Amino acid sequence: MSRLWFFVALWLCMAASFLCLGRSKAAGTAAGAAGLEIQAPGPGEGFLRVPINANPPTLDPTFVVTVVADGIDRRIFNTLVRHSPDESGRSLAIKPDLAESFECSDGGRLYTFRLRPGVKFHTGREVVARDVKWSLERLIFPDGYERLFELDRILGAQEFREAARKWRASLPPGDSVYADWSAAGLGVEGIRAPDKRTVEIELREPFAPFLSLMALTPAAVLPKEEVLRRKSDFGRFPIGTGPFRVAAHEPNSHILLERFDGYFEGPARLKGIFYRVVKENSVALQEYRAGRFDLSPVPMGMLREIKSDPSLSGELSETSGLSTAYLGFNMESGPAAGNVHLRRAMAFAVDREYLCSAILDGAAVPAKGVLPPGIPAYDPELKGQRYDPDAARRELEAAGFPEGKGLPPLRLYYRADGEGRLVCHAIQMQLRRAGIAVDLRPLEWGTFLARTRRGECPIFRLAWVADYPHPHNFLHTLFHSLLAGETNRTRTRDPDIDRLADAALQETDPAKSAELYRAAERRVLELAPWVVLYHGKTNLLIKRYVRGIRGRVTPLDVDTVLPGVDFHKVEMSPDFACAVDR
Amino acid sequence: MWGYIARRLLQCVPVLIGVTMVSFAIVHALPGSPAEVLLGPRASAEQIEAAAEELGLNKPLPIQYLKYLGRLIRGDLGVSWSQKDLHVSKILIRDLGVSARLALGAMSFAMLLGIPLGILSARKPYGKLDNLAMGVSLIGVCTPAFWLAMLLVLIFGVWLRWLPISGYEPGSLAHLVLPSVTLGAISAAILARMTRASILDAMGEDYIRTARSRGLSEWRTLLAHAFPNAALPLITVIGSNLASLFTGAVLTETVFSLPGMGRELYEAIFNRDYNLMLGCIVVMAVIFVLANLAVDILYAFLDPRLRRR
Repeated sequence: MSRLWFFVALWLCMAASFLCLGRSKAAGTAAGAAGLEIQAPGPGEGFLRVPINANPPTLDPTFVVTVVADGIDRRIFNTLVRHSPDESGRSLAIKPDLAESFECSDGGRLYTFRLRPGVKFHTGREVVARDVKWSLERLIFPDGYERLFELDRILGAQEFREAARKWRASLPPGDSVYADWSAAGLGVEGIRAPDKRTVEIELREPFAPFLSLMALTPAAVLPKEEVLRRKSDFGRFPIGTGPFRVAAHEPNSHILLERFDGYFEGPARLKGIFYRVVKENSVALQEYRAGRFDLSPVPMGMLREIKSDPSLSGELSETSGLSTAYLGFNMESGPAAGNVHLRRAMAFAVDREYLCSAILDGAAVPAKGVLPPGIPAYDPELKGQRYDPDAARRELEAAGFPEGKGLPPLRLYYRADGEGRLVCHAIQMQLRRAGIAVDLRPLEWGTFLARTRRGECPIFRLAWVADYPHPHNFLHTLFHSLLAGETNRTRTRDPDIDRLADAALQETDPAKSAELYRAAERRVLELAPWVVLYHGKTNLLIKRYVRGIRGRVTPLDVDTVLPGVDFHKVEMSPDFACAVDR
Repeated sequence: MWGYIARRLLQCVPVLIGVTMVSFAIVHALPGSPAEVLLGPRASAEQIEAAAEELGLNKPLPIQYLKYLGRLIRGDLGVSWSQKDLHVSKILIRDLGVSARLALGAMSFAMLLGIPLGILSARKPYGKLDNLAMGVSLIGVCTPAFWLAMLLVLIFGVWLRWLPISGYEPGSLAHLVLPSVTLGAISAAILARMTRASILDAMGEDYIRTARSRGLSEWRTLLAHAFPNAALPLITVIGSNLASLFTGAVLTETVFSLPGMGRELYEAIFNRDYNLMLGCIVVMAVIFVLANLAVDILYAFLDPRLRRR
């Protein structure tokens, strides 16, 4: 009998520790450190509740790599300028943010920003021009995240990096990004702060998309003293100038932002924003249905069902994004490298309408060219790549493989998770119909990145999401021979594309520049290093009582975090309570 | 007894060193560089090279391993690369709390349901109750966790709205009910079948016949004589299952968005966060070793014959 009691005791111990562990405050948590007890805000408390599908590795804008971190940082920080929809609402324009005015002079080489007076960090200190200088230098500093590698175009940027690299060697490892190079007399010559409210940035040569770079999250203005004091904690509890500040942050669980009353445009209407990590989009949708989120992503393959559900269809928001999915060919080696007809045959053999409607359930629009709608220089009249089985047959014959005879199976690599699998299976069937046999090779993301960069994948499926709405970010970044093996993963080396992309960048007349980019795009399509597939859409469910998001989602907005939406103006409508009960 | 425990503890040391060695080799054999994943598709070859240098990945593997082992002995698991500069030990302490609660909740549920169900089944083998219980437990063993999770979410979260669907709040019990049931379902089924089989084995023994001949009631025979003798294998099942519930709840933690160890390891693998991966594996190995040790000690405690060996 004693063993029976032993089991009863064992069970009681387990159940008791299960209960007790929950009672103890989360030991060692960030929220615990900040002395905050977190409870998810309920409906009607003035907090917008948003699911995020990934844990942001850091909220330090200098190191932001993920979409989620980017979107959350947009609420906490400001940049000198920002992208906002223009009057037509169709494309994005550069609008003032921390800078009340800006001008470009010296033939496009000198940018002068005049800061708004009285802008304060969350700590209450006023923002001055020196903060802008230091924040931008931190991006150029060797440890900084160099998505903005184009900042090397700033006068003295490369010299600063070299000098900083040497200086850094004298510092304890890991501490360098939290060290003050300006105190050591280092700085970028081309970034100047002549007085408290003026910032001058001088470029080595004109660079048309420069203002777009200044609107990106990594270019956010940071308070130097807080970065240096908080060190890596700055990534969890960052201090900025934005309408919200971090009140609680539990990595892998949730982030609570609360309104910053000293925001320069006045306090936000929301009390705060509660982000919670929910890995599965289908779970986020169920939470949304149960009224625990005010926003939800649309899980893959669910769009049609949501559209036919009367309670949800009115809450759906569809926006086209600035991305292009494609099949890329390795232009240096592999069966398609020296055979333009084979590449064109494949471009003609893919039925993009079918991919978008049947496979992606309407969550994308078919692509004709490289540039997605919403990018200046996008050409709605472009004939581009299209589905044409007869043309595919002719091109295949010209390639030396009539009806596919003699063509060995081609290896198509793709990222195993996400929509790539479904899309590539459909493409495999479509190509088989044209006589082209394809072997599918799924790879996990890290492996995929490494192998495509090293040029080991003869054909691969990938998508490019614009960093900023400018054709340079497509036609130069993805096809210029200077970047072959880096962002130019197809390793395209074509003098015509290089010449056109370079000329477009030098051209100060926007219309002429757009024409040059269009010519570059036509050359890309003719050369066919890519089979363009589709442009993604951002599909979201937004509760009816949330005002200020619907209709304001911009093409830059991907995911539920909506970096392009101004959350300062978002509010819960007064009929919120009725809406919840319904 | 103490000598026995000390001996077993000493035996754990080579096991753990072996685990670090093998996992270090496997982690570094994974294709794709951490620097590559860390910097994303926009990074240049030069940046990736610089990052690899910074992370110490350019040194020979044995040197890297010895350095890691040196740090590990000092209790330093290193910093996470994917969670910018956060100490791995800090991350794991946080995750362990969640995983421990989940595992304990799941095992409490499994024991509460599985053992009584097994006893009831063994009371009248092949009777109606037995068939029903074994049928249910068969379904329990076969049900994929993901599917069961979605079913529970739909019923209790969306339709009835009794329980939260996902997420974790320190202090809230409600958030752990559905995950615990999901995770514990399979263990409950296994425990039920195991309990039934062990009791039925014991019921054929001579001492049961003796007990019956003394005129003891069937229940008393079952609980006081058959169950205690059938209980030892259950300890093994509970111990090893508890360890796997602790460390292997990736699916459950993902579906219910719980920040536990399983999900941490899963994400660390995708982010090629070597320190975090190794940290997770080492902690998991320690949990398994300790769970096995606890089972052995309990065995010794419950069965005096083992102590003397």
